[in-house]
Amino acid sequence: MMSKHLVVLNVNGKRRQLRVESHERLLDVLRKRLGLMSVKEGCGTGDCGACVVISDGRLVNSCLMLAVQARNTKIETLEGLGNEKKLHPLQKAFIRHSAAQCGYCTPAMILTAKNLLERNQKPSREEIRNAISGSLCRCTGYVKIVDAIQEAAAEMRGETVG
Amino acid sequence: MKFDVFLPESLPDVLGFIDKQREEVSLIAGGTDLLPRLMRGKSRPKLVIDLSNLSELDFMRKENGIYRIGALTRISELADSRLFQDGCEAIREVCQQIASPPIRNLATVGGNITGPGSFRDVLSVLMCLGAKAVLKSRRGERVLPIESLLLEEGKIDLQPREILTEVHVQEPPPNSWSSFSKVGRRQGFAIPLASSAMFLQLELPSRKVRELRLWFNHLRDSIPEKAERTASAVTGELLSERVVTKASGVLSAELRPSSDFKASSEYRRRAAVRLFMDQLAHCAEMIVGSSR
Repeated sequence: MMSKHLVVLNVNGKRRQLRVESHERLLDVLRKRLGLMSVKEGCGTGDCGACVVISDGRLVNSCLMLAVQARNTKIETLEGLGNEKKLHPLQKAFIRHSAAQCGYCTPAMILTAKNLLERNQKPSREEIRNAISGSLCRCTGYVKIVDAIQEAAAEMRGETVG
Repeated sequence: MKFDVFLPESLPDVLGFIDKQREEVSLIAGGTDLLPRLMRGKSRPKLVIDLSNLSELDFMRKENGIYRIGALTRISELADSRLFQDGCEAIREVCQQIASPPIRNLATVGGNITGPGSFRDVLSVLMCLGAKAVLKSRRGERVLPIESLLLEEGKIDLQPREILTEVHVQEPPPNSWSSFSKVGRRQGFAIPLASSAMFLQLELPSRKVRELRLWFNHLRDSIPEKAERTASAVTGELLSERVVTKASGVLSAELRPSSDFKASSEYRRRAAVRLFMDQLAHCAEMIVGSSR
């Protein structure tokens, strides 16, 4: 038993090796140690969903996982999706639809949408609303977010949008 | 919030390690119960054992008429599974309604049953289905009705140095159905104000009630309670409007819901009665429909 643990993670396709404290959460390591600022802390108790990341293909709250529990997993955050020069279709659709206002929930919403579209290429509005139900948004009323996800899904299926 | 973590690789590792500890240890699997309690200062462990790597407790299968669910099975795996049929549908139904998708991807069956801060809706359903709990320690194994784990004040009767490893659910008899429903103020991620788990077995074609088991939850905190008088009032009767009305009256008198900022006791009582009436109609319809 140790208070520090050597942990290997694959974060956005890159192998990262870190020595983490027993009590450090995955959220803390991603934000403070790896500088992935898209991963937000809201409530810290799993209720707001601002901290969600994709771990081995599953959407999870990074505030509810100890960093040691994520050892040997593949983590995806918004930073792995696209950048300012080459935006992901979901990022472009969020901009077109003004689906972000304060932006605090946006990384979680986009990651949730990416995770959904990998399993369901043509989700209904209800399926999208169910999928994003773990992340709270105080700005948009969710309508613009659902619009953006539907449009991005259409673009990713090869349909003409806009 | 500082503690050490032990990272066992197998169940014997865990049982051997726990057996040597003099102080109380906390277990973590999905983390959805423990980490919020740590954040809120409701738990201050010095030592945490991480069970999340024990793949031997992450399984679900049906063997010789018994559904076996490992304690580390994620709620989302049960929600998405087609394994639970033939009257066991309530297992899938409850798992589809718990918390949010990312929490369901972390939370485990064992945590829902044993976690001190858990909402315990999976436990309600398992009690309603007459499930058995398998508990292991270095000294041996106990298999007992899961209902017997629930103490009066809502605590779970685990012995020191013992952990829940799996749950067994006997395949229900013919002409039976089960259901789980909850009342909340929103469609997704709703905190339940009342929930109900029902198991019904009918005699056909008469529609006489052979067995009814009823568990309610969230009427007083998250302490599941059995509605035995109501079940007795219906058992042996032919299902009719008169019997349902009479049973609703018995239920209304049997329940003792509490009031809080989320709902009044009267609201919870009426919600519970409504859940009961709807579920009885649903279960009866499914039994009659699937027998054709």
